[in-house]
Amino acid sequence: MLNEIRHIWQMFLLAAVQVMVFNHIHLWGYAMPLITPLMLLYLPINEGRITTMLRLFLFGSVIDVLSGTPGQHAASLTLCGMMRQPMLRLTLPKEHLENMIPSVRTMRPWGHFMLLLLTCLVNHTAFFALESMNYFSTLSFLITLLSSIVLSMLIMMAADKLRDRRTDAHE
Amino acid sequence: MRQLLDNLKRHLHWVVFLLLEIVSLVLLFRFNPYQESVWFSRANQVSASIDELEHQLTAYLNLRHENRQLTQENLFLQHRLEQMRRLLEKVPTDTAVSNHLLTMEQAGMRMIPARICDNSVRQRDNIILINRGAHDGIKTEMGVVCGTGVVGIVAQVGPRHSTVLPVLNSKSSISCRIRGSNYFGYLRWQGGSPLMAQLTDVPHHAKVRIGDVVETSGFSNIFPAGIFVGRVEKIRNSKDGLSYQLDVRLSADLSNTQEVLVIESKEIILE
Repeated sequence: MLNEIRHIWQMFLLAAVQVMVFNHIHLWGYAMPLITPLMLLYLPINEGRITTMLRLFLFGSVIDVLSGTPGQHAASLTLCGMMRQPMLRLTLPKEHLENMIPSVRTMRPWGHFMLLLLTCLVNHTAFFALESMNYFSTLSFLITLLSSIVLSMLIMMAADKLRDRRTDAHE
Repeated sequence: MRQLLDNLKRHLHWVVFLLLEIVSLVLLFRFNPYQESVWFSRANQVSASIDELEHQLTAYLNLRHENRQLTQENLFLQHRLEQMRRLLEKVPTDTAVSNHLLTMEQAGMRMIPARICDNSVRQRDNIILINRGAHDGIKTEMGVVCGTGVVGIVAQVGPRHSTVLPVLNSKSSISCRIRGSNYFGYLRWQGGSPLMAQLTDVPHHAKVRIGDVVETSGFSNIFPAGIFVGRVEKIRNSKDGLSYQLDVRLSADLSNTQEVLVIESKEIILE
């Protein structure tokens, strides 16, 4: 129950930061940070696929309502939820706790980085594809996608580091 | 049933995923003006492509009907041409009278469209089976033609089917003439190529050239005059040396014919 409340709190916090801060950043007209995939990293790895998808759909819908982009975040985050298990299978260390929460501490740095990268790749590709809906300007689409992934990853890695430090401090 | 439920349970996440994605996309295309406009323009393109495909398919499926219509029209025009030629020879000065006579001549002919059910061209005595019989008004000794020329004569009539004695039968003999002259002979087939037949009993004094058109003479009530049969390809003497025997390249390829018309002549209608 406590965990659930914590997830809901994290969800609203991430949504608020995304809507109020990062939605307004467009570096050089291209790079837009999306920190929504962080939500995936806050969930235990043994959570069922359906629960994850429903949770992420709800999370995406909240952001969509606040950003005025109905369906866009919901669709891309639901896809991420569906792809979570295969991505975890690729990046998790061989020995791990059944209910661990992915972070640099619990995973190896390389595995964590790869998980973050794959999550961003899936989420951002779906998000920007749905946003542009036009594939004539492939170069512009690729620049937006890649620069946004780089920027988002930098922010998310920093956020993850902060979370790890807080956890260390608590312990 | 249990297995089905098990399968559904095993793949439930796919169902949920598709459901959530559909909901998201509906929201996306319904409430975002840009995405909505792109969606409609793409949807219109797809819709136009499907319409185009449907139109082509319908046109293809209607080909049989169109083919039948064209065959009928072709035969009618051939017949009309011949009638006009003859009538204009008779009444060269008064075109109003010519038209009147022409209409009267053509009013007496009826055509019954039919489809070939079974056909052979490789045997010595070939037979054609058509899908029209006594119930459709078919009688023996009616002429059968296709869009490109003469096919044969109805030999036997059943309630729903009839047998046609085609040109490609050794027992077939159709009265034909050389277009532009009144010399006539009998079209017979002696086997061999299904595209070649022989016009026999053409008198020696007839002026015949290779390439001349052979058409029905109209002497019998079976075929009206002027239906295209073929062209003269070779001129030979008959075995007795008293007449010509002309090799005629038939205009109708019976190995590739499906739609035919049975001609009900004026006399048969009057009966």
